[in-house]
Amino acid sequence: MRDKTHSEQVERWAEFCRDNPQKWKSELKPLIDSQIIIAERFYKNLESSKEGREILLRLKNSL
Amino acid sequence: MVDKGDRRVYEKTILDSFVEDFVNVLDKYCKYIIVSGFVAIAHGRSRGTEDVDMIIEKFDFEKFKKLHEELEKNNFECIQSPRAEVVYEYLIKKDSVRYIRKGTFVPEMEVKFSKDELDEMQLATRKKLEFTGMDVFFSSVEMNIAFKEELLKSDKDMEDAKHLRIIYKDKIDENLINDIKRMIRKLRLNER
Repeated sequence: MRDKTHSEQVERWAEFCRDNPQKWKSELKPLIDSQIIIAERFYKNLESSKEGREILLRLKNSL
Repeated sequence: MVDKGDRRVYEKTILDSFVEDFVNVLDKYCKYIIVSGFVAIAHGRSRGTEDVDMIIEKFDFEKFKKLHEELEKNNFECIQSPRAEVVYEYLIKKDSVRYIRKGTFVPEMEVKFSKDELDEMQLATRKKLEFTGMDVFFSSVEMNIAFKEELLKSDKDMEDAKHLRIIYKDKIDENLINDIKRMIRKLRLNER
């Protein structure tokens, strides 16, 4: 279970989004995009070695 | 966000563009809804995800083959197989299938057929949610809250539900959430 301060931060951020409907997306976009870009980079690196390709295959098959 | 007169144009995230591009193809073939995590993320929830969950109405193979081929023409591919008949078999067996943009690993669109009365109800009550700035159909906010609080229940899901509750404070139909939770207990948790 996450601690109280984490929960408070979730609330604070949700209130910011609700009260700033024209601002929240530009604040959030770097976080969302960087997570996808970093994940993509990670999988591409994994794919570049034989062992990595086997791990990827296992990952895909377990989905 | 860019303000173009009375029309608010949001700067899209990678996930937003991925979802909208996929839906632009899908929309010509069937009814769909975006459900679960991306509903919260599209409302500003600050967490990452690699997949977007989607439920589509059930339809026949011939129609699916055309949809699958058009998705491929539009630069999407299915991880499970390039062959429409194999992908359709997954869907019919109530498994999900995953589409990605060709040559990428993420994000993924996790697609499944509607499987019961609850999914049909979600499709029937689907909504475009202005707050998201996206032109796609989502399952209703009440549906998402009920599923996350009654069925999914992980820390992440409970926080997604909390986020939606704050965004739609005073606009949420609590009676509807309780009705949906009753249906979840009956249909998904096998309670009487």
